[in-house]
Amino acid sequence: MRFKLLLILLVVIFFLPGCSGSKKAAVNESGIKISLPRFFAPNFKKALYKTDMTIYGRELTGLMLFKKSNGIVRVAFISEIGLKYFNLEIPASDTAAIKFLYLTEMMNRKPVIKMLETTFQMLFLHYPENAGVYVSVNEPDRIGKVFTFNGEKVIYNYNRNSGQVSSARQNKLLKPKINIVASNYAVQYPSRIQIRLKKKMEINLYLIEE
Amino acid sequence: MKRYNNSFSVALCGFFVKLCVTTFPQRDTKGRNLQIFFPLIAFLLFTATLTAQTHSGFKNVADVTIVKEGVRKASAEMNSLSSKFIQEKHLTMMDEVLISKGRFLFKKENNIRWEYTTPIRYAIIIRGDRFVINNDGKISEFDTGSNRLFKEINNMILMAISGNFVDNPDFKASFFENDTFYLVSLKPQNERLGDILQSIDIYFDKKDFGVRKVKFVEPGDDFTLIVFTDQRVNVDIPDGQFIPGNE
Repeated sequence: MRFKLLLILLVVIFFLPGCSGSKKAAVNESGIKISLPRFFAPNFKKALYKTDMTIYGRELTGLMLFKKSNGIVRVAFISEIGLKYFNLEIPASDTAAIKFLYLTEMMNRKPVIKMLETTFQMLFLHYPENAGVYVSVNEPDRIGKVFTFNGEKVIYNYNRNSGQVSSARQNKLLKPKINIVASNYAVQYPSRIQIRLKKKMEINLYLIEE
Repeated sequence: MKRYNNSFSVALCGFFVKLCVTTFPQRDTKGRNLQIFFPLIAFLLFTATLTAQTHSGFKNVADVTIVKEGVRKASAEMNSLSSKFIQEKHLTMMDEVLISKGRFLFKKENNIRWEYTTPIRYAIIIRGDRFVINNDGKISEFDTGSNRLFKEINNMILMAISGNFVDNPDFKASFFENDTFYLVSLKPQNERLGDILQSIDIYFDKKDFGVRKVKFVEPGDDFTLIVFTDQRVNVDIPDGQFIPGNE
């Protein structure tokens, strides 16, 4: 009897939090088409954003260019006067790591590199497809997808028909989390992207050219 | 084109000559002495490395004082300058050229307005010791201590116009020419600046020693080319143009 009670208690402790609220509940997808989440459409070629970035209190401004070619996305952030802050490459393979091709000495610090890697990984959903599971959200036409990668979770909230992501949130226990909010979607990508990591980093992107 | 400095090219030649002497067979199968070719090989290598230092279509200036004096004189006679510019940012890795346009105002002694109008509105204004950025209406003032790099970049523009690069210890100057331009290539001697800029190439028009183009070459293959157009020298520029927010 005691053993049974203990077993029930253990079940309550370990399984109930996993079922709390509909956000974590599995979705019954039978017969319903669900698009894959995306900030940038798979066929996007190029996007240019006016960019304000604050990293550890240091303000950097300029232009950020995203360009996709042969499945590889390349990103360059340059100042208004043309000096390069960084450029990086997001490989076509979902399992290959993001590669910095240039990083200005001022930004060449481990925490900064990690923050930027995670940010662009989140922005381009650079995860193995099997790393993600669908979850429901309490909004019509919307769905969530959670990617578990390298021990961290990233939760995407997006339109189940278009795939356009409205927000993505890194889920790290007791640690500052990266939040991305996207809005005003043009056909292929959002016109406005806000990226926040409390007290450490803030990036604001404003689309200026299609 | 990759360029090497003189000491490196001489060392490189020495290395190749030594490599030839130690690995090249001294006589061919018919017993002919092949060492007579060493000076020729060394000469060809030396010429090749010297060619690699120069800019395509340009040759070394025979008399550098003509350039120095011409720039000094033009600078002394110029009290103000108004110009439009087109900035091309060449991102080789991305096979992309980003184009920005704007205008540039200069008034002696140290008033600069470097303003972008497309694709974004952004202006850098230097008035004496004040260094102000107007980022689409958001005005920020900086001291030179916290933005030394920015100031250095703008000083380069000022330096190009005033012509005081000639004896500037922060840069090593090399002089080239073609039919239209004198090209002064400045190599930063400051290590911090050298990390972000390989050279600054300033193109002076041979007719009036006006600056027509400035090229910032970064380590790797990327560069920024600024082409000045519609230049007007010694025109009246109101002081208000160097006050942030005054358009």
